[in-house]
Amino acid sequence: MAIFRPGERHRYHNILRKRRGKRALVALLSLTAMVDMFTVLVIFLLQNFSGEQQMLQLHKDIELPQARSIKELKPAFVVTVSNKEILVDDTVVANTDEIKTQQDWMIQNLHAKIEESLAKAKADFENKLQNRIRDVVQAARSEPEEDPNSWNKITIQADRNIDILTVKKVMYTVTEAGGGEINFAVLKEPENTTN
Amino acid sequence: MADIQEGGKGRGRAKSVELNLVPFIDLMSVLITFLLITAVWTQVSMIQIGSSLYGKKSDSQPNPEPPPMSNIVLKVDVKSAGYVLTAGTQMISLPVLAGGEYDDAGLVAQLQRVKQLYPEKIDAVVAVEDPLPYNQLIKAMDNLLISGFSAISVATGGPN
Repeated sequence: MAIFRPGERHRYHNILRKRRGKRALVALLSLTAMVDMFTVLVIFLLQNFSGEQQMLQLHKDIELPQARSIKELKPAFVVTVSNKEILVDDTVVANTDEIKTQQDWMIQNLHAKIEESLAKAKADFENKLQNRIRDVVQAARSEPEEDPNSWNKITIQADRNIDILTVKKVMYTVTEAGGGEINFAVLKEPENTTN
Repeated sequence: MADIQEGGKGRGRAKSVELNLVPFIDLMSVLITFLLITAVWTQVSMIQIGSSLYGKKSDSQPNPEPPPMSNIVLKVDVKSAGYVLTAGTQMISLPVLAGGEYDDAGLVAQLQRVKQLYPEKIDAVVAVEDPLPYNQLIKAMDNLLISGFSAISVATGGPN
């Protein structure tokens, strides 16, 4: 490679430019359109951006029902009822076909899993409460009261076509295992549909 | 590109002021990638069972106060033939429409009439036939919530 004298250099290749004289051709990449597109995309994505984390993992086999009168999802244990299996926070606990045919409403595996998870959540919550009491004493000013039963909330995420008896069995088991407030995961129905 | 060129015709030195867009494009690319990854495309929400009035009680929890006017029965039965609304002693049957769809608009209208009669009442019971799809329960609950009955209970037994 040639060695050049140090100094200023033209960005569009000085040597070529000099040789071609007046009719030098400079091809410039027009970045304006791309920058425009980027700006529009960033604005759109920023508008869509929500600071909250996704509370529940959407299951690929599940088609959620739609509803108009909805509330924002709160953190809770998620019981997923798909056409194939029943899951608690990504752990498979039962087969849906077996549950459909079984006479007893109690789903043993689900009961055990929920009970275990709730016991852990309760312990965590109480530890947190102790910490908070200590904080309150130190700061002599408390935050707004947190819901004392926030640890035992359950969200049921079920396929819209699953029979109601299976959902009732899940609800019964969850309540028996100590679950408190039960919520159903739904999708927001578009405003302009006529129902 | 984004540059300002001045002079060039006269004897003075041509002045070329060029805006450096590279860091800007870099920033945009990083932002777009981040926002695309964190974007949530489906808004999952929830519908709430109103009260645990009839639910299992734990020892530590006090019994909840019954909602106002809870002595008046308000029950929505979802049957394969349609909705049956029980409000107090009155029973209103809303059969399935000709297209095979449930009469949601009719149910909402009847529920709003009940709400006008008893404005303070917020509790209601939904009973769904076992073989019906779960979607029907959500629809019935949604209709009750729209009409202003927020404390919904789901009956484990089927409709009468």
